[in-house]
This record gives sequence, structure tokens and C-alpha cells, in this order.
Amino acid sequence: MTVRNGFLLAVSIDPGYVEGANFAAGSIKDCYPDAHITLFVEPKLRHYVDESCFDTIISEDVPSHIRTKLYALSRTPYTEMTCYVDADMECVHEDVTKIWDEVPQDCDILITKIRPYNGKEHKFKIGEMIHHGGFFVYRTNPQTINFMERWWTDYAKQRAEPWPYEEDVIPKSFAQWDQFTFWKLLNVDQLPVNVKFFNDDARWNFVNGYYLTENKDPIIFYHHTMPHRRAKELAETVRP
Amino acid sequence: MKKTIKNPHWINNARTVLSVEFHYDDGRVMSAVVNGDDVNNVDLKQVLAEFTPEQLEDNTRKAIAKQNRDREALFALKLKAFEVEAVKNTPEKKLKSALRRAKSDIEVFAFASAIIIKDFESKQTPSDDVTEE
Repeated sequence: MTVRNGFLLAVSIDPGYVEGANFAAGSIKDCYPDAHITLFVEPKLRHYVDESCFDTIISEDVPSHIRTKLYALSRTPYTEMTCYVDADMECVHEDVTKIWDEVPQDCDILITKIRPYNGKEHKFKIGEMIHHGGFFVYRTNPQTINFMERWWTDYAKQRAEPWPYEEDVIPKSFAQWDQFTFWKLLNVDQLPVNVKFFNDDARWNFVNGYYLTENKDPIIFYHHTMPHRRAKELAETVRP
Repeated sequence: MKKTIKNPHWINNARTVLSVEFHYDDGRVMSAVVNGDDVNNVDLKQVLAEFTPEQLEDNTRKAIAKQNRDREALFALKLKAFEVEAVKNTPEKKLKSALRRAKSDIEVFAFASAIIIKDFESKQTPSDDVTEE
């Protein structure tokens, strides 16, 4: 059976993120009972998954990697549109059912903006990271799937290979950010994808720390901060 | 009776509604909402006489920060509740949904307890109810 549109979550390394994904998916179903949700999870964490929250669970060949999400994006099972959701998000409003109508016809990736006051270093000599990688909708068309494949392979290279830029042009500390890879694919490699921002974008991805004034209409997704100590405690239980 | 106003802050994006605390001389404390557009309102007049716009903004920032801390604490508590096997594996979909949508610590404890009690009851055998004479 093929499904046109659905939500995608991806987790690995830490059982705390699986439990976050269970919660995020459950909260989407609470507001949008017909939503189709897929989880990519590395095999050793499979038993932490709450199967009642997901329609499809994929474990085979899923790597244990800090950005399993990038591995998963190009492998979406949805034939038209996919909404990627970070595992520490919570859906709180029924307007989530309107998400597919938000995407303009000519748009390949619909995303939200980073708020500089609420994040880490985002500006550098020749550019600025403005796209928030924690929540976005993308189309299943050749140019976008190619973009997602490159996001995964180029991010892996970015972390593994010597930093190719001058420190004063692009700091080496950016190597850890998948947002930087996203910037590079758009601005250096100039891959042909049309990226736009959600209208009233903060309501779709209201990150902990945002000003109350950021959203006009009610918040749809809160982006929490995963309680790290708890995640670490849980991780202890799966070490050999 | 004389009252002191404390912690006035905006509670909407349009900055038209204030939340204030009235501290009365006899020790009573009351929370109230004041319409920031109603220039004849005596409470609003007192707020504007005693607090600068910068102080109102500063209080608003602090109130939002507290709201964020409270929201994250509630989220952490919900995740902790879902670590309990009986909660995570319950077939009670409506209770599970209510737990996810809980608005306070008390609601989290109440819905988690309801799920755990249902799980406990479902595991009872008839002989567990027989009391010895």
C-alpha cells in the first residue's frame, strides 16, 4: 500500500530519544488521528518503541549515528510529501491537519527560520544559517530526494574529513551542524531545490526559548529540550 | 484598603492585557487581569504610575522564561510517566492521550495513576478478591 503524505521521525544511540519519539508521534495522533507516521530506529533500540504510536517502523540497516534523520529522509515511504519531526517535539493543536495545504505548489522544502537570539553561532563571513533543521515538509520528487541523499553523505564527509575552509571564513566548529551542510548544498553546490518558509512559522516549530510574540495564531508544535540527564541514565541500561 | 501592585506583565502579544498581583495590607494577595486599553481603569492608572514600560517588558520577559521552565518541567514529567511499563504498554488509548495532553503536574499524576490502577486490576485473579474468614 502506498501512502501519499505522512510524518517521519528517526532516532538512534539513546533510548531517551525513542521515548521522545513515542511521545511526539502519540501527540500527533491525538490531534490528527488519521496521520500516517513512520519511525526509523536502529535495531538495538527497537524494543523501546511504542508500536501503538506508529504506522510503519523501519529498523533494518538503520545506522547508529548522531544524525540518523539524514539517513532516513531520502528513504521516506511517502509518495508525495513528508513532514520530518524531531523526537523532542510535541503536537498541541488540531491545525496540524492542515499541514499539507501549507506547501505551495512550487515549493520543494517548507521549513522554519532559526531565531538568532535563541540559538548558537549562526553567522559567518560569507553566509548565515537560517533554516531550522528540526521540522520541515519536503516533496518526494527527484531533485528533493537527491538533495536529501546529499545532505546525508555530505554531512558524513563534513564530520570525517579535514575541514576544507579557512577558519576565519567558516569556523571549524560548524562541522558538527547539519544546518551548515544544508546551507552548503543550497549556496555552494547550488542544488536546484526551492526552499520556502512556513507562514507564521513559529507556530509550526515553537522552540523552547522563543519570545511569546513570535507566533500570531496558536502554537501547533512545541520544540522542547530533551532532558539530558534522563537520556544519559536510560542510555546506561543498554551498554554491554 | 490600600493595595500594592506587584509583578505586572503583559499576557498577550498585542500588549493590551496585563496580569497583576494585588497585595493588600491585611495580607491577602489576589491575581487580576487588567485591560491595558481602558485608560479610565483605576488599576491600570496605578500600574502606569508605578511602573515604566521597560519594567513591564522586563517583567514580561521573566514571566515568559518562567512559563518556558514550567512547560519543560511538565514535558520531562510526562516522559518520566511514560517510562513506567504499565503506562507505556496500556491499551487504554483515551487515558494515554489524556496523559500526553495533561496541563499540570496533578493531571499527569492523576492520569498516570488511573492507568497503573487499571493495569493492576487487569492482572488480578478471582482468588485475589477472596478474603479469609
